[in-house]
Order: sequence, then C-alpha cells, then structure tokens
Amino acid sequence: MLFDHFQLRRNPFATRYVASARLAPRDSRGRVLDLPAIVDRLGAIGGSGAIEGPHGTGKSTLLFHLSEVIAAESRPVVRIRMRSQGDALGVLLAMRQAPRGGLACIDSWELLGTVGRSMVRCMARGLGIGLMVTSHGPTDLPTLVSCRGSRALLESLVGQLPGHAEWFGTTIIPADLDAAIVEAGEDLRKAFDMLYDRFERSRAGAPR
Amino acid sequence: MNAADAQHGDDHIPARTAQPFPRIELRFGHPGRGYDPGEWVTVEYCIEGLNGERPRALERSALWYTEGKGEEDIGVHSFERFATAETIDRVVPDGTFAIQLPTSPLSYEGVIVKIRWCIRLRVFFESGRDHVSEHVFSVGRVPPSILP
Repeated sequence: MLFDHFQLRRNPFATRYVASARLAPRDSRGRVLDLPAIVDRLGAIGGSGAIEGPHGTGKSTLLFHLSEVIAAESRPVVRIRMRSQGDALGVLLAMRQAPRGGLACIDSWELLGTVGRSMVRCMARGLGIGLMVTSHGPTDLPTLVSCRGSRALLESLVGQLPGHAEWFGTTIIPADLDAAIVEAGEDLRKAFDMLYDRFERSRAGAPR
Repeated sequence: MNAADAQHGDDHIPARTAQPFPRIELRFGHPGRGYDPGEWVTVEYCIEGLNGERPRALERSALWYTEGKGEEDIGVHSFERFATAETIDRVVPDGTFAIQLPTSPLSYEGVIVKIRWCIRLRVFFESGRDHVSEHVFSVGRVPPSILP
C-alpha cells in the first residue's frame, strides 16, 4: 500500500516534526517544564524577562509555548520574530497593537541593538505592556529561564517524535545520539539535522 | 465505507491536549493513492469519535508541502470551509469531494527534501479546540532519489 510506503519514507527529524510548536519544552534533564510556574515567575520579576541560552537550546520553543499559556488566560499577546536589525521599526509598530496589560514576545532580542532595545523598553513602559524575549546570553532584562542543551534533553525530545517506537533502537540507536551530541554540543537543532542525515543513511542501509 | 480500504491519516495532536480526539477515515478513489498530473482525485471520508461534540466548522483542502531539513514550504491547491449549521450538516460526519490536480509540483522523495501532497481535513469544535488529519497521496512518477 502506498500509505505504508509513505510511513516508511517519513523522516521523524524533518523540520515539520521538530519545529517549535510540536515539541513540549523541557529542561536540561529532559523533564517537562512547568509552564504556568514560569508565567508566575514572569509576574514576580516585574512582568518582563528573558529566556537566554546558546543557539539551538529551545529558546524559541519555550517562548512559543509560554505565549500560548498566557494567551489562553485571555491576556493580549503580540508575537514578533526578528530576523535582522532592520526589523526594529516593525517591532515598535507591532508593540503599539498590544493594549495596556498585554505582553510582547520578541524572538532574538539582541538583533535590536543597544538603541533599539532601549527604545522598545521605553515604549513598553509607556504602553504598560510586558516583554518576554529570547537572547543568546544575559541581557538588560531579568533572566526568566536559562536554556541548556544536553544528552538527556536530546533523548527526551527524540522520544516525542512520531513513530519513535518503530525506529528507535534500529534505524536510530543510542550511539547515534551520543555522536550527535559530541559533534553538536548544546546545539540541539544541529543535532537534529545530524540525526536527520543519519536516519536517511541508516534507512538506505549505509554502514555506521 | 469499507474499513479494509480506508486509512487513518497522520493526526496532529497538540502536546498539551488531554481530551479524546476524533478519528478520520479517508479513502481515495485510487487504492494505491497514485495520481497523474491533471487527474481528478476523489475521496470519501468519515469522522468518528465525535462523542456528541458538535463541530462548528470543517475545512477540506488539498495541498503540497516540503519535508526535510531547513524551512518548510507549502502550497494550498484547493480549500473549502463549511461553517454554517446548514453546510456543516452536509459534510459532517461523512462526505465525498473531488479536486483536479495541477501539472506540478510532482511528489518527490529526495534525501534532503521531499515534496508531499496530501488531503487535509480540519475539524473545529464549539469548545475552541480543533483537530487536523492529513492523508498523503502521490502525484507523478518521479522515482525516489538514491543516497550517494
């Protein structure tokens, strides 16, 4: 059956399966994060905070899921993803859409630059909205969560991928995760890319 | 619908949900799910497990998407939305529809990127939750790539 064929050809490490929205955020030990508790902490530290960590450690994933929890509480949320410093004006315009008491979620806070960040913080204060941002290190905002990649986290995330029971232990084995972590370090996005390649080679019968 | 011919698709279950979700059985007019460009695709579907929960809307679409490493791309070829009481009753819990395929893109099973076609059904409920089911089929006869 062609449907079974597609089941076999699906690579669980493809972007559509490891994308931010699909995987439940976890800490460096692989434990599911208590999102409501983190939201409470955001309020406790003044309503604004940063999710900081190296590249590929789940910051964007966590930002997305936290914004969903907050939005579910009927608090207005504006989501902004920065791709370059040129997006700074767009950030300011988007923040004006948030009513007082709302929250602006900004992915890649450092791209705003020193002046841009100062303007955004000033505007947020003036508008009465909070900021929740991602950054690659400590910032001018309180640290809400520190994200770190690890072997335990990688294994936990891999366990959430579709069809895990069918291919883990055969097409992908624990040694493949070990090799990915050695090569990628804390960058789990890079580790997923490596496991994608490993999955394709393994399925094709290539030797390890 | 003959259960032996029908298949369940890939159901997208949000990580946070704890409520039971419906199952959608869908049968293609071609048992092998292989079509040529420009051909008509006819499908029959049945939504089971509603448990008395009334859907408030149904979307039926045919689309292609890329799957692999890097950012995904997607193209919606056909889309229908049924959101009134009259139209919902005609398409839930079962229905039939047909769409004519374009000449491209063709399905492709590459190493780094794959191009997939699917029929997507999305059910929206009064409670605010929704359920998506995708059923993959192939367009064209491009052979799978071989790992170098």
